[in-house]
Amino acid sequence: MKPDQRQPRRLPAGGLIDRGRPVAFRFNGRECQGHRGDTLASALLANGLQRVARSYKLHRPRGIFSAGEEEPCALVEVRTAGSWTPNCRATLVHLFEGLDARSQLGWPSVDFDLGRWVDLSHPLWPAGFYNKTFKWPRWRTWEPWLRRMAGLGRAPLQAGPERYEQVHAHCDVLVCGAGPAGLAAALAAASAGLQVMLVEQDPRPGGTLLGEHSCLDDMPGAEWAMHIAAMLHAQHGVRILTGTTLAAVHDGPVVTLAQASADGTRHDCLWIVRPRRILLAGGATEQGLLFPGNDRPGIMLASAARTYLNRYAVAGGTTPAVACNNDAAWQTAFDFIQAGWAVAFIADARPQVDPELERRARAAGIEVLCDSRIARTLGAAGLRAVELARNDGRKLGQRRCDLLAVSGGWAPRVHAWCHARGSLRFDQTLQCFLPAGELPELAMAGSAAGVVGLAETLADGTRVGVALALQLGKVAPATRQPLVAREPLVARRIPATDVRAGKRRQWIDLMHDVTLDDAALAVREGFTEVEHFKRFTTTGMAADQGKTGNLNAFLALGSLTGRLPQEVGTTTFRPPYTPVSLGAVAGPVHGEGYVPRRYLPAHRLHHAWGAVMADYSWQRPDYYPQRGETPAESVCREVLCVRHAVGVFDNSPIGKIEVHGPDAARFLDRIYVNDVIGIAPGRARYGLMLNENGVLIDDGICTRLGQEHFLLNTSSAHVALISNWLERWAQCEWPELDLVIDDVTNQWACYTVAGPQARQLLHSLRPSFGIAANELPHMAWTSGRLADLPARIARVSFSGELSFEVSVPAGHGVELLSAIAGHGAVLGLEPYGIEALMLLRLEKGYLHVGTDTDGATSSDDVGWGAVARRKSGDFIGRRSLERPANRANGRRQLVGVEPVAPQQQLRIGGHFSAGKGHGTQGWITSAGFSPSLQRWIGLGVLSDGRARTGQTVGVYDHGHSYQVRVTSPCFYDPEGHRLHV
Amino acid sequence: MSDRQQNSVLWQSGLAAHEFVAPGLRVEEVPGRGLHTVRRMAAPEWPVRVGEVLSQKDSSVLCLRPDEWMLVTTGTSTTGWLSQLPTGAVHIDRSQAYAVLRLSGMAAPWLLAKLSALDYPSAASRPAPHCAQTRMGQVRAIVHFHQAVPEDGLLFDVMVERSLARYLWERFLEAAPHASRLAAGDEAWSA
Repeated sequence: MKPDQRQPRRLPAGGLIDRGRPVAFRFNGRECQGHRGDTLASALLANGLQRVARSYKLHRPRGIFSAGEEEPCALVEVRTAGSWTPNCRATLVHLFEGLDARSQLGWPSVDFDLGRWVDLSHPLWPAGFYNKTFKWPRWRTWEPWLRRMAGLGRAPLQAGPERYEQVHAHCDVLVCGAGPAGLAAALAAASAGLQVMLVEQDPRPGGTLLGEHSCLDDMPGAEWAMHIAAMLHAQHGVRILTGTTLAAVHDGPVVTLAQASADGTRHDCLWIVRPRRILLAGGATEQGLLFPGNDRPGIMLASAARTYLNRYAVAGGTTPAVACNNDAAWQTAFDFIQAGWAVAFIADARPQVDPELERRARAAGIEVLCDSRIARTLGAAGLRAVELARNDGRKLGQRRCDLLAVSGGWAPRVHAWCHARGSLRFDQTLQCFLPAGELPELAMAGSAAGVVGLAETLADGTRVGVALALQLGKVAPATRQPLVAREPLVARRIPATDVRAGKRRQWIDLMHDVTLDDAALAVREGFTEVEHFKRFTTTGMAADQGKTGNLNAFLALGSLTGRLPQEVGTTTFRPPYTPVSLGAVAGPVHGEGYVPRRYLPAHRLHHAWGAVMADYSWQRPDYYPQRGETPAESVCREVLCVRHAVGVFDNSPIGKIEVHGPDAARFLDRIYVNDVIGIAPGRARYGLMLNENGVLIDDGICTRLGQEHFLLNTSSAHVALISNWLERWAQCEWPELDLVIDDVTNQWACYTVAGPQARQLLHSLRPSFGIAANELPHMAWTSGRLADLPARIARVSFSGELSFEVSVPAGHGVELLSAIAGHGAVLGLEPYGIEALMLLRLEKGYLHVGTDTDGATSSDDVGWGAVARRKSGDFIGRRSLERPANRANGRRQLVGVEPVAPQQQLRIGGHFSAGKGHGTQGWITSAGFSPSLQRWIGLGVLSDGRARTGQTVGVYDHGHSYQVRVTSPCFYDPEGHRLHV
Repeated sequence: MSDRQQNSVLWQSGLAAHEFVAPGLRVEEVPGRGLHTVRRMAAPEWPVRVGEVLSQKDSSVLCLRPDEWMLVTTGTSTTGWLSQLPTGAVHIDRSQAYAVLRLSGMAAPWLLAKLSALDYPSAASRPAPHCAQTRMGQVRAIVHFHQAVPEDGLLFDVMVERSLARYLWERFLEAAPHASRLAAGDEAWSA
């Protein structure tokens, strides 16, 4: 068969791709073709594209280095309708029809990049250069230019079509990795009757079996994996998630899994799983080799070259060669030979290799060079040739090759083990860090645990699966191990890394352009501890988290500082293991779902009345504009309606907490600054609550509904806070008190009818109780029927007018409000909103906790010193009120203020100041133009404010200064005649 | 305004619909439930373990906390139940404080699992009805799992504060398509 002209590197047969389903895609504007089952990386290689990216810092040309999540070079931008996703690893992007991908760096193109001058001047940009240079005149001058030159992708500015989901799940055993060990373990656990979740980053199960030639139970490895997965899938209680990567292991244990859609729709899902046991079977990552020019396009991990060849039927180059220090990489050469390609050479750093391997290679026509290394690589656009040398320095000359498969050993994927605080040990045989000790809910199996060989890995997976089942009280039936008839070569022993510095640069971290010279510089500058070393050089950072470079970096640091690898240790492997989109982390918590919105029982009615709703954690009417009115005119009209006729305000969100029990009065007496025991049934009292520091946390009305039954009104925003706070005191501090606390805020719809005509309006609603001044005086409470509805009525006021707060079961809210509106029309009733309410209370000087107070305001500061001193019993915060700081002169006290110049506008936040050079003496907390008084008024907190009543003080506000007069906080009806009528 | 609308918390909150369906899923508001909190002490035969439910005819008693029960009735009459209460028990009518949203179908547990951390998909394997208080879509909710019903599959009642009913309903609407796919196994690998 002739190779496809559009895919010159595609083998005519083989692989796990669907050749019957070609897929068209674009890369950097070029039309390309691949097949279903391809990744973008394999398709690019098949199309003969070797150079796909530019490096992050130095703009060096980069190719595809790996075949999985460890990819450090091939980061691309994937475009979807009107948006794009940056930093996608081409090795993980699964090909779909119409895929449009672009390189992230390189101008005007990735092939001809003017930014290459950075590489040509590389001595100017060593590790940590930004800590030493570009300091004059200041870093900020240079930063935008440097960031434009470097960087990892651009985030889209507009919301795209992406959709992010979250879901919680539970299982007995979570198996991470559906390679041989994971499949065997899942099979053992599932056969014991456990609920198993098996997750795999790849779209299909199999792990390394997909990219290697192996034979299990007379089936090719990939087929065996599908057979086992199908068996598991058919089993009750087993869920297999592909395209899903473990992101993190948290306490609990809670595990987060990132699931990405494979069809390009960007439909990501974050699974939050609570397993009883976790099995990590994620395998191991092959590591690169250190040699001069080891970053050139065409240099690829040996296992990746094998995967592209066997799984995707793609030859990464026309003249492959191998450079390694272990047996596993030799398999790459043999697989190329089997596929019909000539292999230029195998350069192995070991002085001696298995004679049988050497014989096989020579028989296949491969030049075998033991005790050898790469001295230099050549090529402009990509790899063209290499210069070889013996380990003792003797030159061996140049060899042509355009694909160099490299292997410097293997690093087990122990990251998630470390998330769970598992410790590591350095294994001399395998020259890598392995899990040490045990963790109670976490186990590792297969090559992630340092097990080498397919048969051994399968046996280990079964063993751990059975052990986990036993831990959970289940017995797995004995199963026959699959017969391994053929398996790839593996690295059973890795020699110690020989770090040789030289004139030419050797990359230890391809993603962040960190070279051996940078490592040496870090050591010279004293950054010899591994965590310092990482931060100075930036090795192991960014999207790949150093998966192909970390081990070499640690070994290089050890070599440069004369320490053993176990003495160097590793950096902290923090979550997430793999990049997770922020959208998936946020899940549904965005937009309308960001903060829960509460709706009033009569929301629909307010809407019909034309209310402008605003978010006060509840959706509440701000004001009710009439035709042609500005907001200010509307608010002014509403205020005057309350002052001269009658208004109705939806006060349903006000906190309503009921306290029942024989000790309810004693309990509340300790809660409030003022006396509660003395409140008679049917009467109410305004009160303040302090915390232990004497700081005012809430205010409201406390009503005694019965001898052992109280109703507390709290600020609408503080209901949950106060309810929980009361529960804490009742349950933790005073458990001996017999009482029950219940938040009934949602049970009752509450409407305030306020104004001189309020009583007349209530009369028209046929109350079953008396509402005359002597029957229901100010601060009294009763219940009965109103408008034929069960109702509670409190005679309290936040406006300074005659006012009734009428509560009915919330389901009757619309009914009552409609009745009020219907009967009130003849009395000139109008609804009023929050804005009008705030002006009404400002005119009366009524405190608004949180607006007129802050985290330091005490009850004394708002004029309640005498009340507190008068109280005989103890209350929360009393002791703190006696502290010197709370009794000192200069405390900021609540005062009223009005401008000396009548036309002067007051604004919240203006600072009281004695002039330039003096500090603030307080600030304006509430301000507005009073419709009733026709002038600007405000409240504020001023140092020793009460003693300064009548004085004039300066205000500094946004660059302007003006004078205000200090007054009593109450501006309107200070005698209170209107609310006592 | 129909009776259904008059009693519907969602309608009063400004929504037109009080039910929706998705593959494997039906969500509807169930108005008119009698909900009563009982505190401090309960009748002798009431459940004492948190999460247990006592069901009789159309009424249930949910044990929410060691000293808190919720009596759920289909009508307003609670006399029979409340007469069993010992002296000292505190009874609070909360029929208007909550909205009851009923979820049924095979996708119902997955809809709940998208918004709350409890193990709903395995709820079906528990033979008796049970309940839990949980955080769902950032708000507090009480979930009452009824025994599997032949025509509806799995049946859950979610009780949420009435002011938050519309918010949670909108979260259910958003989450429903994914829940349907999860229930159908579309998100999982298939042989």
